[in-house]
Order: sequence, then C-alpha cells, then structure tokens
Amino acid sequence: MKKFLGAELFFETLYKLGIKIIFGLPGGYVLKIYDVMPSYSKKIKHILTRHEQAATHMADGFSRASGLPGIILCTSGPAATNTITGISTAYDDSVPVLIFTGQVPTPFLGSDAFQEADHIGITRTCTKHNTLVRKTVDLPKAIAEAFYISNTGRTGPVLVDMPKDVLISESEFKFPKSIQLKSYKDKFPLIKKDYMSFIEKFKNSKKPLFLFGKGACSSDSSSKIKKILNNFKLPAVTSLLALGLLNKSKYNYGLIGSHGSDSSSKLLKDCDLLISIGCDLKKIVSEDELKNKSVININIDKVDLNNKRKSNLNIHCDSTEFLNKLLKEKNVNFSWDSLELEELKMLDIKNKDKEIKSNPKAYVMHNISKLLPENTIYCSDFSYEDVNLQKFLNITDYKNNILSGGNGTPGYGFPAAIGATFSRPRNKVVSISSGKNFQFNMQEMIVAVEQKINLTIIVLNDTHKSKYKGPNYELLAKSFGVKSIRVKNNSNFEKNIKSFLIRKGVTLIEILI
Amino acid sequence: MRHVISILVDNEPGVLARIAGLFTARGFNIESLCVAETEKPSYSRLTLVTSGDDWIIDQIIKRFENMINVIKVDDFKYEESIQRELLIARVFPTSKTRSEVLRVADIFRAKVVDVGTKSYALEITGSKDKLEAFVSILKPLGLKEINRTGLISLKREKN
Repeated sequence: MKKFLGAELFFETLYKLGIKIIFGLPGGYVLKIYDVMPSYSKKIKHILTRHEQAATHMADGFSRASGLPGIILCTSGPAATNTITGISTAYDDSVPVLIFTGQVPTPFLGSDAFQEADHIGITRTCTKHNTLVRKTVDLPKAIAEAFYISNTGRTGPVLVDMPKDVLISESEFKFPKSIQLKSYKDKFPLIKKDYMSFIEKFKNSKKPLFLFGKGACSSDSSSKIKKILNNFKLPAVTSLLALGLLNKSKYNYGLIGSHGSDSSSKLLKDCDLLISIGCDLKKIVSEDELKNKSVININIDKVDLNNKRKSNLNIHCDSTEFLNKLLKEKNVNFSWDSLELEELKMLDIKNKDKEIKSNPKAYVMHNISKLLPENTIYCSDFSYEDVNLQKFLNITDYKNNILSGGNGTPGYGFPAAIGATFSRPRNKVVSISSGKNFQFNMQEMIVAVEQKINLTIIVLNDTHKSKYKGPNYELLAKSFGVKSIRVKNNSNFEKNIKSFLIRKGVTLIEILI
Repeated sequence: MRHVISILVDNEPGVLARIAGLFTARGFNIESLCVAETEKPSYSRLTLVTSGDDWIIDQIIKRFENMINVIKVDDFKYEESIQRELLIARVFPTSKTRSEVLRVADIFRAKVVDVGTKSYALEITGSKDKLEAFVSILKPLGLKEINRTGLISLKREKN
C-alpha cells in the first residue's frame, strides 16, 4: 500500500471530508504541511491570514454564512494561544470550527521546548472536544472524528493537536469507514411522552409566545416556523443570534432581551406561556420576567435545560424534529387579540422611526441598509452599548446575521466578513464596525486585498472628536491598497456613499458620527 | 448535600484533568476523588464526592455526560450503594498506651501493617463515619499521621 507523509494525510483526509478552504498562518512545527501544500492547492484553497485570531474569526464567519465547518491551521505556542479568543467566540455561539495546531515532537512534549504550550489544557474549557494525535497512522481517524463531533449534535469547536514528528513520518492512509464513539450521541429524538405533555400545556394556554434561538435555525426551519405561526396565528420573537429567521413573517415581533423591541417586551409581559426553542434562556430573560408564567424549554443540550431559569417542562430533543411534529397540529385557538397585535407592530415602527431621528448611528444603519441589496450579509461588530443597532439592519436570513453573540468579541466582525465572502461569493458582504472595534483586527485588510474579494467595510468613527481619537481610517485603508472615503453624517450622506457602496473590490467607508 | 458520583471514562491521558478541570472552571468543590482501572483495562472508574445544591449537582452531571470520553455517570444514593474507604494511620504510643492501641485496632478490625520500635502503622477500611471514629479515638493515644484513599463505591443489587 502507498505510504503518505503525515502532512499529506492531513490534506487527503480533509479532501475526503469535503473541505475546500482553510484559513491559517505557517510556523515552525507545521512547515511540513506547507511544504506539501502546492500539490493539493487545486483541491483545497489556503487563505494566508496575518493573525491567528483573525484566522479563527474568518473560519467562524465562513461557517456561519454557509453552515459548513470552518478550518483553521496554525503552529504551536503563540499561534495556538492567539486562537483562543476566536475559539471561545465560536464556542459561545455553537459554531462548528476545526482548529489544527502544530505541536513540538512527541519526545519533547512537556519539556518547555521552543514555542511549546499545552494546547489541550488551555483549550479544554472553550472547545467541545480536543485531542492530541500521537501516531501518524491515527491522524485520519482523529481528523474524521473531530469533524464529526464538531458538526453534529450541538455544534462547536474541536481542536486537533499535531506534533511535528506525526506530520513528518510516513504511514498508510486508513480512513475510518464509520465513526464510532462509545457514548457520544448525534441525534436526540423527541420522546412521545414529552410531546404529549407539551401539547397539553400548549392547548390549555391562552396566550402562548414562541421564542426562537440559534438552536432553531437550520436549513429549512425558517419556512416551517413561518407556517406554524400562520397555522396558530401566534406571535414570535427571536434571540440576537436568530435574528432574520422570521424575516417577512407577519407574526415576527423582532428581537427580545435588553436590546430588544418594545413590542417583544410587551408580549413577554402579556403571555401566559413562553415556549423557548434552542435558546439559552438565562442570557435572554430575567427570572423576574418569568414570574407567574409557564415556561417550556426545548433544547438539544441538556446543560441549557433548567439552568438558572425556572422551567415547567424541559424537552431534550432536536428542534427540527419538534418543529416537524408541531407542523401537523392544527385547529387550536388562542386568545391573542389580533387588533392589539397589529397595534404593537405599529408601535414598533413608530419607535423605530423615532430612534432613527434621534440616534445618528441608527440613522446611518437604517440608510445604509436601504441602499444595499436584499440578500446582503451583515457582519457587525458593535460595542456593547450599540448592539441595539442590529435591529436597524435589513437582515433577511439568519445566515446573513453574523455577529459575536455570547462572547461579544471586539474585532470579530471584519475578519468574519472576509470569511463570509468565501462561502457565498455572489452575495454582497458588508462589515460594520465601530472604530475602536475595527482596530482589533484591521491588519487583515491586506488579506482582503490579496485575495481580491468583494467586501465593503463600514467604520463608524464616533471618537474623532474625543481625546482618544484613533487613526484616520480613510488614510489607513489607502496604505493597505483599499479604496476609501471619509464622509460626514449629514443630509448629503446617502448621495456620498451610494456609488461607493456598490463598487466592486475591497472598499472602506469611514463615517464620522 | 453530599453526593457520591461514579463516572466510567476512557482510560486515556488527559481525561482526569478534563473532569477535574470542570470543577475548577465552574467553582465547584471536590471533597475526594479516587481513580483506577476497571475490569476492562480500556475503562477507568472515577468516584468523586462533592457537595452542592441540586442545581450544581444537576449541572455537574449534565456536563460530564456531554464529555466525549465519559461513558456513564451515576449519582449514588447512600442506601443504594456500598461505600468504602481505606485509611492508613501511624501511631506513636507511649509504653502505657501500647496495648490500648492494639485493643482499639482489634475493636475496629484494623490490621497492623508495620511495626517499629517507636510506632505502629494500622490499616482500616470502612465507611466515612467509621474511619472518623477510629481517628478520633486514636488521637489521644499518639496518632501522628494518616492517609486516606477517598471514597469508592459500587451499586447494590436491587431486591
């Protein structure tokens, strides 16, 4: 049988798993992989980034925009530690990414060798699983398992640590026919008894409210959910990460939580049953808000069931199965007042208009959104106080809504936007950052230019009058070879940026707020 | 409340760190921990004693079950399981208490495992309460040093 180098096995396995793109940066212990890369360059594209954190965010953005896992390759020590922020971001939002790190040769493990770090130990709390490969022959199996774990059940990041001697020794290519893990489950069927108790509670309630989180988002769930809401004529709200899931549905009442719409908080107050699907309730509603209400929590991960928020019924199952079942139910009537619901919608529109007039940032977001095509991917990166701006963007699909939710990572949006352009090159991709957040990963502009992608970067410069004014982003972008303009937020604003927004290539618009 | 949690895991490097790491990361406390191979060499059994309210125990068990290397998790109730611990004690008796120490050892069914000119080493197994009683009685008789294994546990047969 033909023998392969460990580094070749790495590519052979990735190719077999259907991976077409990896983000990474070379370094001492993974040089063998970069040595053999030219012979695989037609099958697997490598994007050279300038910082490992940005590589992780790119893979994360790629994954969120496409639904496929994102791949990161980097060396040991400082490179691996640089990825931690990115891994943690992906972990908090359950994004499937695979991180491949180089490591010192196995005989030197634990000897404080040059660029050595305990990757397994460091990433233990921010990965779904991590593993150290000790023999070349085990490499394909380890990668295939990591891919499977990362991409099934509640998805999440998985790290594979590859010592240098594993990459430079030879072995046969043994790709596992099937993955067998003793206790790991990838499917969580809906138990009939659970469903019956759900139906009983559901039918007995007067004013139920649906809350959809990221766990409810999958390829065809959007149309199913809209159908369910139409069947029952029930209002629904979404979490920040599921924004866009209910786009264009008559029953969509937008975002819930501290940054949410006024109608959503009113609905939450009025409802007698809250049905949360695929949500981390403790991050979205307070215990007080759930007083005197019945709560049904449906989640694929039992850790998020009964976790710091009361729940009258916990259902541990896959949301798609639950939605399929619920789709068949019909002829249940509830006592939401349709007139009142319409009034709430009007109230939302009124409040939104008010805020657009009073908040210059909201005005900018609203107008930019108006000028952009329908299916634009928005990669936003607001500071904490500005997260409510997300609702002024015209997000038409949950895959178009790319932001760091749980971790709130500054500097996430721009590299994630670069990643997103590779997954759906036909879509318009826009990165919107506040100036201070953009500075975290601005070096990646050179990557965007090198890769000749189409990307519009919008920087909201709200500190240009303050003591810590930051750089002139227009000039900064020019030095990277990015076409840029600097505009003031005045009545000519729309006219000034219109032609720039539709321009091809990498462009940067600095808006002085 | 005190809980005895028994966890069957893959016998691989790093698994113990993963389990113990969960406790530090979430601010939970381990009272005792005991690990060894099982009848199948590819598995290890971990017996862990911890305390906390229902929410903490519920979270600990769910998070263990989510780990890839964890095969089975059991939360043992006292009545449903056999629980044992081993203790070795070194006692330095005076010439007056020398025979008294041996008598106490006899009452508790402890064994003398080492004898010197100055001291005895005694080995005893039993429940937590028995060991604590043993220690408190030996203290005035010249007990200087003890070492305990931590609790191990096995499910009782259901009748």
